[in-house]
Amino acid sequence: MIPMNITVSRNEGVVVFTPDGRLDGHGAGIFDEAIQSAFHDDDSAAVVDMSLVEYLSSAGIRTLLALAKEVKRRGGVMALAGVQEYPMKVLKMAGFHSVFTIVPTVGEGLLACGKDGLALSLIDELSAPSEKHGDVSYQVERAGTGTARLKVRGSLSTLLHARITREDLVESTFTSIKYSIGLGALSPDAGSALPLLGEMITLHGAMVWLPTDGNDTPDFLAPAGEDVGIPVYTAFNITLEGPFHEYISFESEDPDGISLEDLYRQLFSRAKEKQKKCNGIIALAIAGVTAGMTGSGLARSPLKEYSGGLKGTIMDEDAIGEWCSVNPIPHHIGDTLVSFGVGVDITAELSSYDPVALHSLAYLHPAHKGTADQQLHNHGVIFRGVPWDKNAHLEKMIQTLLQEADVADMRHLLNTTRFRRGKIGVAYISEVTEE
Amino acid sequence: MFVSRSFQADIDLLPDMTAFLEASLEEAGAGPKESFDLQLSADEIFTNISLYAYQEKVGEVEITISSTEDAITITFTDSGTPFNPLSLPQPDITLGIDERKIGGLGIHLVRELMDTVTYQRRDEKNILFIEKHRESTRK
Repeated sequence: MIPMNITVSRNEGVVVFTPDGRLDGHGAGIFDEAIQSAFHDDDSAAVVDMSLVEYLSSAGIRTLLALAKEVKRRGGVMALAGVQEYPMKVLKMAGFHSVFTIVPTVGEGLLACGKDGLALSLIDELSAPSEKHGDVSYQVERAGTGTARLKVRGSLSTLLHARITREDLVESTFTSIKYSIGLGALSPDAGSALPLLGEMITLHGAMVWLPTDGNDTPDFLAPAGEDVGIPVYTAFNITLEGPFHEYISFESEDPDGISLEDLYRQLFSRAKEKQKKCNGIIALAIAGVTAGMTGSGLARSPLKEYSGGLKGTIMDEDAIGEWCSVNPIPHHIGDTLVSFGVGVDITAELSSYDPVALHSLAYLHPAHKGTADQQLHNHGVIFRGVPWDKNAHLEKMIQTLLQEADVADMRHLLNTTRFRRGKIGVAYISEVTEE
Repeated sequence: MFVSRSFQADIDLLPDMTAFLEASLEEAGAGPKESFDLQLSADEIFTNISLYAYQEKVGEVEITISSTEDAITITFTDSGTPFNPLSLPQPDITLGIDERKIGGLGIHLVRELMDTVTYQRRDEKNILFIEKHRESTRK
């Protein structure tokens, strides 16, 4: 007996399943498993190449129906291609030949799925003409006009040199903060928070953080409406105050997407081109489908009491292994990634910013001075379970994810993190102040 | 021809059951159409018994195939929960994608494909009998 074998491939943004074998109760179970893991968050169409399936039972129809429903939930179409004579007879007897889209070939299946459906929508195109930079097209929508500033608490330099003490901890609440990143812990008191300090991000009043408790697993606190009762202690925090000036939808033609650093780079150069009021610092909230997240997380709270023997910073080559767990291999491909962070264009004047506050915000390693063109600091959360909705507004999308999706991971993002498509909120920062 | 074999009622053994069936039907000289129809019917019935007859417990199903010049018959005997699949209502096969249910579809296919389907409860056993006339003997 030939066991069921399923090949999953992608063709022009459509997931193509090729089951090879009998689609009976046994084969359907194997097919079900393949479906579970096949979909990326931005997949919305599927073709099942039935040309190698000679046999179909009601269990196989059940699987095909479940797949059709899943694809419909994602706003797309499922097509069956190359259905053989006997399976077609079974589909007819069961009355499913009129429920499913059935086409002769995979090529026609791809057409039936309407590959154009994945592109930025036509309505967007009409209301906001797109710009193209390299492989990436952008659609820009103007938003707020007010002043955007960053409020910095603590100093990145203190963190990176592992000199944090109890005096650096500040108790606060996050339910009123829309976007911030930093180092902190949820804990009943400052003393118990200190050894747990980890990367954190606030999104619409919800906090996701990566405790340095040795488990390397994020913790998620959604606002429960009122005071949640658990204080948050932070040693370092960057909060955005003010509006996003633009909302930008982007999409890469390259399936490998665009890196976070190139996104920042293109936004900086675009700001220069368009003579935006950009003084060299921008803050970005991004919700997108990742083509591979690379990230790091603190493995140990960067406390002064732990730092015996540390000469430079925890990011130095001889120390980083001890203090950070770094994963430069892209993972979570196809999942939804929401990030917030800031970028400093080092080639810009930057003289309009308070130098002390600027130093707290961005610490440039002496070894990188002169070679780097920008300094980025972004944290990101991987959400699972909610398909990508290309028509949703950034803020609405983040709210939906916080309410409905599962938090699968949270990291400090390496600049090599890549996005395939997404929505960006861009704030051109005119002031950096210390809290 | 008359062959009989017992299987553990377990969906993982469906490939074994299928192999037994294929070999037996070939021996019985079944044409491709009869063979396919009997295989699908037997598959649906075996799958149902595997999933529902014994709930969490382990049990067996005996499959007996016999053939004459005119017809091929298969009998399924299990000692599980009393259940007459012919009592299931006919599925509505005209509904759209969101409303469609799968329940009852298997036995619907069996009824469509077979010439005779009967159920008996005897000696605390479920006995389901299916019969398919040979194509060549049809007038």
